[in-house]
Amino acid sequence: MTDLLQVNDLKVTFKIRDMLSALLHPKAPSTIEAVAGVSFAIKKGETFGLVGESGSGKTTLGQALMGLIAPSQGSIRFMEHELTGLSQKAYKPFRREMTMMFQDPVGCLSPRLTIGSLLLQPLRIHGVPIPNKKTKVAELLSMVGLPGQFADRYPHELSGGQARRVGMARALSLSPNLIIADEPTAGLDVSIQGDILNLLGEVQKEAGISVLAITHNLAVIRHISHRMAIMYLGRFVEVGKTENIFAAPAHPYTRALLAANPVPDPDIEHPQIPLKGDVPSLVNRPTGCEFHARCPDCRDLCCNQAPKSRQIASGRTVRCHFPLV
Amino acid sequence: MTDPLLQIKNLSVDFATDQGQLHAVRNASFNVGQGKIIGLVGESGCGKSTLASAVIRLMDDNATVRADGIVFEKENLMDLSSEKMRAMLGEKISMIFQNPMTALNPVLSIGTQMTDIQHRKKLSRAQKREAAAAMLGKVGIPDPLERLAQFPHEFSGGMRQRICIAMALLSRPALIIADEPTTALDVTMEAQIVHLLKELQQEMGCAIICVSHHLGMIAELCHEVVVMYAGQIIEQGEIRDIFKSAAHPYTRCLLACDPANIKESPGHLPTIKGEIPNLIQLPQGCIFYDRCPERLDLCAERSPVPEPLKKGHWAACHLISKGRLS
Repeated sequence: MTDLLQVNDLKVTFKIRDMLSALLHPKAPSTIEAVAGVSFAIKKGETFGLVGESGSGKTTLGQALMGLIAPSQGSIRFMEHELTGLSQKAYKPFRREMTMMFQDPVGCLSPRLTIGSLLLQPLRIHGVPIPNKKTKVAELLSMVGLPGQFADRYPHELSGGQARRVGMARALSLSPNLIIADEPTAGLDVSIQGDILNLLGEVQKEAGISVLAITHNLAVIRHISHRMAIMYLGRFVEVGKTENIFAAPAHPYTRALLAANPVPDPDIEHPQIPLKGDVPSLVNRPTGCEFHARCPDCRDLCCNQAPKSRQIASGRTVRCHFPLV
Repeated sequence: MTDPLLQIKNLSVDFATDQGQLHAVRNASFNVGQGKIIGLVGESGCGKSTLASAVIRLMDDNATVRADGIVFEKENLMDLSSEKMRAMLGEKISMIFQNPMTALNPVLSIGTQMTDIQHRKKLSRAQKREAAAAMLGKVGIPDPLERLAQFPHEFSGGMRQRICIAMALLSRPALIIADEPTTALDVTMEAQIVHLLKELQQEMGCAIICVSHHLGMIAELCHEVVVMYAGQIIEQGEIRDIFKSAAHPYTRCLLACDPANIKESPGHLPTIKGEIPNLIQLPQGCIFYDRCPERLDLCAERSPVPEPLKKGHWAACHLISKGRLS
């Protein structure tokens, strides 16, 4: 299997100061690295899960891949083309092959358009000929399990789950090679969450689409992804096969995340591996290992020297001086 | 046995809408014992938050609340004047809201907000600040005295929720209503907040009604669980009754749907087919009929009545009286 998407040492920086305050405080950092050197690859037909707390840079990474934010360094190779440095116009054909399901299902639909015209919008933008609009809309709606009369409705008339389905139909309408699903089930009830994930899994299998699933929900990632990465302060701290990571996390942060995920069983005593405090600020990144202040296994070396990402098994890397596996 | 702290008897809430009366909560009754943590679970739109808000009269103008009684410490909250009710809310009952980002006033410092909330106490401003700082320290905020001067935007989400909890605890209430207290937070923060709530509850002995759709969190925090579906309480029991031997098909479906409950990846996740029925024109018979995987013919005609299963555990389902419970 070849890699559909290859990301190498990708960095995204944001300016946090205007020119005046940069002049007044020349020593203070003027940028933050939201994504700080990330490398990974997604194979054809594979689901790659991206997990992390809020502010870890998951969504920024997804948006950088879509060309919505320009990366400051690194390369994105998609279908054997380099995407970094492309103009918006040159990017457009690739957005036909790489589509996005946005985090806010209702917010990403224009409130003034009907579902029917919203569904055809991607096709119109990319100049795909639509011989019969009505049948195309009906086809897209039935693909995501919505009745045909939804074509005349407006976004505010939809429930959260229905809006997700419309978002998915829009992402699928161009028959892409890769779908970037940003929090595909955030805000949904468990009873509907399964529906959306099953649907995503089905169309993926049928069409051989690759999926980059961005979420903070570990239970979801476990069921849908083949491989996963755990992101902390813009870096991958652990990458590997989902089942292996769940069976034996190698990074203390991964272990803490897994332990924090409560199991709905009152008899299970949760192993208390307390993660103290908050995610540190990106403006003042901690020295040494960036996790050391919250790490229960912190040693002297961790405070001074930043660990490099290293391979501990085939296809499994971890950024820790003292990996648990 | 002592009287329960809060008794809700046959509470119903209707909303006047353009399409007609929407029956958001119907004949809900349950008790909250002294120092108990009660979990209120169900899908969105099941009336969990409406029920909790109705207790403290936090309702929109188009709502009608009817009840045989909402008895709190032997006083019927339904009969109280709005002034007395406000005094009650300031002292005996407090609330933790879902979104800590919007629950705090962005233009006032934390210190101001935390002293303002103690306005009924006959203390000097300095004493109130001290009490506020002590409470901030208790919820795990370092350097509380200095932080009183800071504004909400200077705190992270988890910190803000801790501040909200501190504010709810300041009046030493007997009952706290927590409406989805961890939904807006990350898992690591959620674990911290649940831990904190548990610890403080044990220390202060207050009762908590915790509204959530997150079953994992309920399992960890609560003593008793009330399961709601489409505005009705369909099952209630001790935490183990619900999570280990749930009787109502809806409760069982809900538990089966939680991906955290599925150990091996089956490639296909269970769901509950269909949607919550229209609450303006209620269907005849059992409210869960059209989505129920185990429905009987009887269920379409008659709505089930609560059937006791064991002490403190009941469910409203025909399967129980028919002896068809699997």
